[in-house]
Amino acid sequence: MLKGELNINNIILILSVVALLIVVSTVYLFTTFNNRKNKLIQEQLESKLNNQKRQHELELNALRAQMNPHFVHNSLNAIQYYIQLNEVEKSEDYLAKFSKLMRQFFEYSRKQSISIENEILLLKNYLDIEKLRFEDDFDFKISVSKNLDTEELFLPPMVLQPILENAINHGVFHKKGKGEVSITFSSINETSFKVEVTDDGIGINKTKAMKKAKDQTTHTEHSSFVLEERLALLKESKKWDVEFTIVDRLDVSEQTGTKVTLIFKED
Amino acid sequence: MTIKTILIDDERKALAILKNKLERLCPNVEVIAETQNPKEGIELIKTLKPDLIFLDIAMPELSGFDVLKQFENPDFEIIFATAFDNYAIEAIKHCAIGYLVKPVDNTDLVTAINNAEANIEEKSSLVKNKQLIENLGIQTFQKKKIIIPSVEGLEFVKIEDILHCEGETGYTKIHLKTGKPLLSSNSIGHFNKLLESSNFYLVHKSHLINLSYIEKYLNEGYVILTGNKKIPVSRNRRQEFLEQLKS
Repeated sequence: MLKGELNINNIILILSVVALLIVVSTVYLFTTFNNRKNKLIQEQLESKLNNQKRQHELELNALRAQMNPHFVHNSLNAIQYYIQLNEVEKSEDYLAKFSKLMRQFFEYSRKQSISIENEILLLKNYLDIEKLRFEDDFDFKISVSKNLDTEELFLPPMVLQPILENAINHGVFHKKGKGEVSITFSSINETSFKVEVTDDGIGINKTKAMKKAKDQTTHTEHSSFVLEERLALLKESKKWDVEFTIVDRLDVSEQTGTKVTLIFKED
Repeated sequence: MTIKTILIDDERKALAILKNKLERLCPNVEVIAETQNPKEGIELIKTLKPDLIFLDIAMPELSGFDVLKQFENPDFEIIFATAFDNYAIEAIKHCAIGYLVKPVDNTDLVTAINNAEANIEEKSSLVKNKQLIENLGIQTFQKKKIIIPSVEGLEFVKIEDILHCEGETGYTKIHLKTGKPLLSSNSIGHFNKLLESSNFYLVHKSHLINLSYIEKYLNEGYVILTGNKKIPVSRNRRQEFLEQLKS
């Protein structure tokens, strides 16, 4: 009897201990699970925010690379010139083209990538405006190799225009007589392609020497810095790998000028 | 044919520029009235019964769309004018109505007038305007209708009834949930601009799909749409497409 009572007491004791253990471990498991879940959500949120931040940086950077104040004001100045000459249609035409280009800039700088086809449309619009500014002193040529699929290959927006702008400002502006800039798009394989921008100006060696002599930072340096920063950001985004080389044509041939080569690889 | 025209824009300078351009470039356009006040514009349209109105969209008090909504039978051709408003432009494009962005390009203006003249002769303005009014009252974008000009006339198609569009050289085939596909002489790029903010995605240079009808994505680079339609996703578009699907 005593033994039985003891047993019952023991059983009750053991059961209570077990019950207590279950409660404690449930509470413990629940809190750890909850903590982990919260941590996971937190991490996801953070990585999402980081991605968003990087995207915004890229957009901002694209806009900055584009909106070279020199280009904007030079264009407006050229429009003023035509107004003074009372060339109404030419001024109107220039202004409408300029406005369309601004629209394209805003639209494309928000995108992660644009097709080569659309990029060429934008560059043509930009070059037409520069042609109005320099008149007969400037010409350009855009060539696309036949096997390049311009609708199915993409590039990050607003990378090529600053390079063209540099080419024009060296190749045409500092040169006596007519200057020409040529852009060539050619295929490497299914996911990569090459873009070459060549001008027949004074070349990058002389440009650098001129700058040194003047001891000043020109907007060219500013825009090449923005470009480098942009290419680095693109690489960091892990979507693009852009190889960038720049040579003075005199170093490799008989001709003067600068040649920029870009190889775009989509990761 | 002389096109009797009324100009409505709250900015005096915009009116002057437009009038000057029309006089120089479009001899068949006769500006019969102009106003900076949209309410006065409504009265002018009612009494003068113009063939065409140039209508600014963003105006204080009454927008260009509000002006249009005042008419039960808006049987006049409209060319909307706007400086920058993507949402409004898209709504106008859905109904194949004319528009110009400011500052106005001379070539664009002449093209818009030629189109307007054709529409006036075909008497297609009323149905397009009515559809625009209807769309403006519909909140869910998939319930809106777009107007597709075809050889026979105009096709009114609810966005949610479009499965996918297929680009061919010189035309686009619009595949619907039921019935025969429609043919349009517009490019697939045109339809992409028209539908990209209505949950459509250009997965390939010649395939625009309605994302609401995706049933499966195959890793080898295809999507399967309702009705077992297999559409290729081009290699260079896959990454962004998958990101879009996740978000």
